[in-house]
Amino acid sequence: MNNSKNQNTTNSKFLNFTTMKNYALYSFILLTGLLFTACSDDDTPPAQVDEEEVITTLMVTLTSNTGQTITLNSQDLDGDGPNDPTISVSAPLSVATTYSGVIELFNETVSPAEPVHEEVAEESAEHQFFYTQGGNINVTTNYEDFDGNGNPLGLSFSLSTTSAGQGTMTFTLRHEPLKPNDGTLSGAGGETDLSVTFPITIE
Amino acid sequence: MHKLFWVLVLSISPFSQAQICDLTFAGRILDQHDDSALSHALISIEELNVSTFSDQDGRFSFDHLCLGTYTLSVIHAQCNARSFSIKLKDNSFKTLKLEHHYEELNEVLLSGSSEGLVSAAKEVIDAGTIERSSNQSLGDLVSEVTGVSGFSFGNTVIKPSIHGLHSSRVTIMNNGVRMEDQEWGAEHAPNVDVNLAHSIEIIKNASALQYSGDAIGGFVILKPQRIPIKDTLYGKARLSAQDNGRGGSAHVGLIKSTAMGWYGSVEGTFKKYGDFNAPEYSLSNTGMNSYALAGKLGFNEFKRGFELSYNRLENTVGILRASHLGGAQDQFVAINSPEPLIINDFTYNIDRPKQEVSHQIMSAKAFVKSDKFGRIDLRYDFQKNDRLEYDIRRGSDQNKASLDLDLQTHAVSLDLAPKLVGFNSLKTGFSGRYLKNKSNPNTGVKRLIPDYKRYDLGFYALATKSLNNDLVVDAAVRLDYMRIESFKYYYSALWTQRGYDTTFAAFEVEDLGTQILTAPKFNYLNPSASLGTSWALNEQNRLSMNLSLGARNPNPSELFSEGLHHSASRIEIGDLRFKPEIAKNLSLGYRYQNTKLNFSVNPFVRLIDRFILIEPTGIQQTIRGNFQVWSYRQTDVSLSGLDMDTQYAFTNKFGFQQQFSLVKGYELETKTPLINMPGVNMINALNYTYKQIEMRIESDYTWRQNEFPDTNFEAFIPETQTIELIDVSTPPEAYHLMNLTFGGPLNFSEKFNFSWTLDIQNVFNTAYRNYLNGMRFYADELGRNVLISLTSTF
Repeated sequence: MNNSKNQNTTNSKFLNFTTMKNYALYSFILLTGLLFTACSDDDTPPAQVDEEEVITTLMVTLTSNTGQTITLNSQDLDGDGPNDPTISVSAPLSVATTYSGVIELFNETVSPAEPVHEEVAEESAEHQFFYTQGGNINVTTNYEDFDGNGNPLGLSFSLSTTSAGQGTMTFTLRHEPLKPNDGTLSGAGGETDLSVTFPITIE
Repeated sequence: MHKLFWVLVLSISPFSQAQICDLTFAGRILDQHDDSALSHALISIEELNVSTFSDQDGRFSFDHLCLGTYTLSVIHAQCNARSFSIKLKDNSFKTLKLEHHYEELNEVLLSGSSEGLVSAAKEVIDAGTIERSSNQSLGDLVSEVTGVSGFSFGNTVIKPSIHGLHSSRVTIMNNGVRMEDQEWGAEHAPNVDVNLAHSIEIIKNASALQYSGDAIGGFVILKPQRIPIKDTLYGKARLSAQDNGRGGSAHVGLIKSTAMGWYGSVEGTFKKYGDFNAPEYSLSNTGMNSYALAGKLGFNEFKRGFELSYNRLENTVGILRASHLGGAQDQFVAINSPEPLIINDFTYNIDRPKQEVSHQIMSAKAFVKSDKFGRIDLRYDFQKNDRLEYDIRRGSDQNKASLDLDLQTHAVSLDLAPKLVGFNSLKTGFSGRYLKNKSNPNTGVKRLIPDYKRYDLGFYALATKSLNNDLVVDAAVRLDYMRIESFKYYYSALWTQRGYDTTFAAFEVEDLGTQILTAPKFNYLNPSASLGTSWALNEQNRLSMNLSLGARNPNPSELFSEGLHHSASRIEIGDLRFKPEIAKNLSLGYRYQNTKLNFSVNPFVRLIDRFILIEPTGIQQTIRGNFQVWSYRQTDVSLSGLDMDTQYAFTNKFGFQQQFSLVKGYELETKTPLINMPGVNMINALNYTYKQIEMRIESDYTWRQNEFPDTNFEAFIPETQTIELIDVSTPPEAYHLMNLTFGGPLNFSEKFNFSWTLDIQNVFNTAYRNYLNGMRFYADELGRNVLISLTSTF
């Protein structure tokens, strides 16, 4: 009697467990199936990102008091991609000449090209250009535009040459530099948004 | 019937525990009324999921347990079930009595002769340590374990690095859920709140195959507290405050359970810190805000049960302002400056650059047990990780995130733990996972990680068996299938430069000029295995050994990276041709234990085929100037080292502890050292208990890492018109830190249990830099920190 009762208990437990086991297995298969089918519905590629932050192009236009125009141009259409920027200088500079310079920046990954210099001008207090010369040239530069606090910005500048020579000019745009600063890159700190070196000939 | 004594029923504890966790807990089940032996009582250690039956004489035994606190449940047909909390400090024997009424949940303190020794099983972080570290991140906390270090990016983004391996080489299990939270990234901290864990296990090899087969560095396993089956309402509260960062944390948890088996809990944590400080300056923009919320509802009737749970963590983390750079010339200036270039006044504000991460987990699980056939577990987990990274930007984009990732993971698993005579434990299971990563295109920044979908299928089986009283063997196998489908916009120039246009022409979808849309799809099938043994030579000496084979697939970053990684100020390039890494590991263990001395040494050798590393391969010109290009590469490497733990008890109140760890990693062919290997570390500590106050003085010495690959480069600095060497590889000097801890109970209430801790870290305010911190180029580590915490249980 006792024995058969035990037997029964065991049996019902066994059935119970087996049923549970099957439920568990079926649920697992069902869930996995659901997961792998329901989730693979969309196969449309995601949108390409409009790169808003990139500066692809720097154009420096130097106009002399005699009306001569020289452009310094750097273009890198793939931004941080593997292609190097293309750098060009339209003509040599003349000795003992004063040029008025204008800097324009563009993002040409979007169409139409975005004039980044307008943003820089709007945030003039957070930006500053620096002009560094190297090699065997001797020029002087002066800031011609200023932020709201009277500190230099540098989208407009003047450049005066003296004697002939060959060297480089580097244009650096710093974001959030120390302002006012001592006019040197190291004194200004901040982050480099742009740094382009052009070969310069003065003759 | 005596056989029953050894019949271990349900499932498994991670294998490597056998190497270091060798305590035995034995006991006898008696009837409270007449002290008669109760046979056929089912005794389970809930945390470990192991059970056994008492024999005719009422006796039972569990082997290979770690130090720690366990919940023991005892069920017998004629008695009400009962839970005991046991604090295991040594091999122990305990008589447990069952009766017909429920009793208070007594803490049964099992103390052996070695009381006063601090925890020997460093691989388990117990509840007490977690409590004291309530303010810390997981990475901080686990780096207390020998052989584990924090791989960090600042002082709040810290990842566990086990023997020099981290990120996607370390699997983090949180309450049974494998964390999927963009863990491939070096500056992505694990999204877990340590306060929600009751214990944390660290496994230093790939052997825990029931969780994953790709953890070739190891596992960090967070386990929740077991809830007793009785009518009770209890809780805990922790408060901490610290001077460095001028902040603190608060944690509250409430648990309600009934004798019917229903239970529920709610827990929450809140943390807030402002700018932290180094000994000589403030670390500007390093504050942190965090909150965590967890709740569960369940039913546990011993034989069947289910649980629903929800867990949410929100972190806002500031990134050191001075670390945000624009190219090689900024890097040159920043690295050569003795102080960060930007130091502002203290603030609680968190400005850009910063990270905002939200992680949510929803789980549903159920189990059913049969005394005769074993146990079945079924679970479903959903995870959602939202990651926003903000950089310093220009114009209308200022408040936009630069990185906006949404990773969703669905996972199901079925585990079977059949009961077979002759095996200590046996377990097998299947799992399926689906991941979907979406990268928001509105960031205005080219995606660092593309949109992808991933499908995982896994199967495992494992068993442990006692060959005799002294020798246990374990074995496991696992098979994983993974498929990844992605859409990726490549720079056309890179696509051809790398030869992908010929090798992977089938992936090309659309040519868009400077960029090309591609749809890479890959399949991987990986076996993994583990074989281990533990041999008790005698009472004092034990040997163990584990051989494991693991395989890790390349992660999205290693496959798809091709662009500027702003936080590292370098361009990183992955490779679609990568094959899985295969790791072969041999771990050995020797342990000596007597009443005074507890010593263990664990050497290991690991050979990893096709190890994926990143190294500098050139300089790239951009309009922002020069950037160093780092490319991922596969190469065969070896890692080897040893961990040593010593505890000596002069008296039962006064003890000494030493931890020593050494890792060496090289490329096999060139013998080049591997990057970011931790320096040799030694911790010496004295523990003293005066009345009820525990005191600890700790010396933490880290040798300089003298073996490193040279990744320096030269860049043109326009200002000085010079070409300068930029040193991004030389490790910082050795350092020595002193830490003091005091703690004890506060007895002013019968109903509430209070304890306090006073922690002084870096007592001498030593300025130092840590090789494993990505911020080491720009700033010192944290200065002295005084932390007070108060815990109450009720």
